[in-house]
Formats: sequence, structure tokens, C-alpha cells
Amino acid sequence: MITDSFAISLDGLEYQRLTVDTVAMNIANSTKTFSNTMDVYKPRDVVASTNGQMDANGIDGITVSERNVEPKRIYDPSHPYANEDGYILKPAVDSVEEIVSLMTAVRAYQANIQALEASKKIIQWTIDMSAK
Amino acid sequence: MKNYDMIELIDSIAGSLLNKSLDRTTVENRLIANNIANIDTEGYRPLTTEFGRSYEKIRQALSENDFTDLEKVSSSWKPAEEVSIHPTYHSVSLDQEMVKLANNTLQFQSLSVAKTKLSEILKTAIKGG
Amino acid sequence: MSIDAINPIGEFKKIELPSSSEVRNNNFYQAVSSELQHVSEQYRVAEEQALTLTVGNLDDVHQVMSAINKAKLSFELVTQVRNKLLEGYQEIMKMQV
Repeated sequence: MITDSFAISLDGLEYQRLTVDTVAMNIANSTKTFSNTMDVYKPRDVVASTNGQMDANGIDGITVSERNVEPKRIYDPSHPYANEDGYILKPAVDSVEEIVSLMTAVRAYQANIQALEASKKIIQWTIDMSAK
Repeated sequence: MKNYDMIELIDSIAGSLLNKSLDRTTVENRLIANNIANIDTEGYRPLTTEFGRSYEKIRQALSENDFTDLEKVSSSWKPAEEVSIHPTYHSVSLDQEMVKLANNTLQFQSLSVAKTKLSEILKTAIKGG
Repeated sequence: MSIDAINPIGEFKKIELPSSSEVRNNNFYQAVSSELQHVSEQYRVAEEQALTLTVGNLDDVHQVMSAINKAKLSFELVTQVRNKLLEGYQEIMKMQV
């Protein structure tokens, strides 16, 4: 059993870590080439959702979903994966966007650590206050 | 209101239950250390404690102010045996282990301070100030 | 110069010792026993609060600590008051009459 304020911070930490992982996966897959529209890697997003109740119980649901975007079509007839029209397909990953969400996630992770440290210190001080 | 026999003051149910809880934090600490050590181990499933049922029994006895029940729970509680593989995590989550570690350390501290302070009160009683 | 006879001293007044029921109805006795009762109750509350820690709940740790401190302080207060009263009694007993 983890104390409430700790559990909330833990939710935040796991959410931000998952975001970092997802960004890494999007970037890692961004330069892959595909010939078939069905196979193209679709960039993923981590979505945190709320159940609508304002009960301060951390994040209610975390899901990883695929972004519904059309792949980038690049004209490169000499490429082995090029189709009959001379196009190859690349995932629609916007690296600037990914880096921005990476930075945001790292900052948010730090903020969650700060919140966790604060909860820790509050309890620590309470114990110390009585120990003397 | 509960009346105390003389020896019950020293060998109280509260004292023994607090001792058991200190045991519990030690078990938890060992599991966390083991999980962190195995963070890169292939196929390792994180271990977790399952004190939920014991907690439920203690909570029940506390709310009913049932001291004989509390004594029973306390003497039959073996924290080291209530260990299992984590039901939802398939690999070690460092965040979770760190939070558990912080939580566990604070629990150990609060339990030991509570125990020390309670026995200090008894000491005052025995020595007469 | 005339020498007068010693006048008889009047009858001795019998010293009334308080009966045990009177002791019990005494304000002081009642004050001490209600205080002790109160201290014992606070110790019980402190113990009960400490037991809430055993289920791993740290959210109310401040309440546990303040209950324990309260019990400790009130116990020390009662002990000190008792010690002072005893000292006072002994002082009176030592007095040269």
C-alpha cells in the first residue's frame, strides 16, 4: 500500500516515462521506409484521461494510441521500395514536434519528482518533530 | 475502556503488532532491493507483498475495538510468507520501486518512533517521573 | 502575693478523622483520580493511533505523532504534579512543631 500523495506522483512519473519511451519509439521509426500503406508505422501518442470525477486520485487512465495520419509520400523512383508511380512511404513523424514533447515530458517528470520529494519531506518532518 | 494488567502494559498487543509491522517493512525493503537488483534480468517478474488481507483483518479488529481478535491477527501474521509475483507488472518499474522505497523507509521510521515514544511513557510511569 | 491554683483546662475536643467515604468525596481525591483516568485514556488513544500505522497508512502520521506526544506530556504533567504534592507533604511532616 502506497500513501495517497505518493501514488499520485507515481502515476505522473509513469505517465511521463511512458511518454519519453513513446517519443523514442517514434523517432527510432521515423526514417524507416515502407512500400505498402497498410504497413507504415503510425506515430504513437500517450493519452492520459480522466473519469470526470474531481477526486484527486492521480491519473485515471493512460493509453497509448496511434495517431491517425497519412504517411509521407516521397518521390524516389530508384528506391527498392518505390511503387509503380515511383513513390516510397515514410511515417508521418514530425521530429520537431517529438523533441518538444520529449522536453515537456522530461520537465513534467522532474516536477513529479519535486512533488514526491515534498510529500516525503512533510512526513519526514512530522516524524522528526516527535522524535526529539 | 480497556483495563490493563501489570504485565500487559509491557507485553502489550499494540507493542507486538508494531513489532510485526516493523518486520513487514523489512520484508518489503528486501523485495524492493531484489527488484531493483534485477532490473535488467531477462524474464524477471517483480515481486510484491500482499499484505492486503492482513491489513483488512487489522482494520476490522481496530474498528470493532476487538483486542482478542487483534492479538490473534498479530500472532498469526507472518509477513515473510506474504510475497508473490506482481500481478500486473511484467518488468521492474524503477519509478514504482523508488516510490515504494521512500514510502517504506518513512513507514519504518514512523513505526519505530511510535514504539519508542510509547515505551518512554511507560518508562515515565515506572520511574515516577 | 497570692498563688492561684492552676485552672483546669477545658475538655479536649475529639479530633474527627475523616471517614473513607469522606476521603472519596474529597475534591482533591476526585481531581487526582479524574486526571489519572484522563491520562490513561490518552495513552489508550495514542496506542490506537499508533496501530493505524501498522496497516501502512502514512497520511495521518501527524495525528499519530500528536496523540503520542499528548499522552506523553499529560503523563509527565500528572507525574510532576504528584511529585510536587508529595514533596509538599513531606515538607510539612518534617516541620518542627
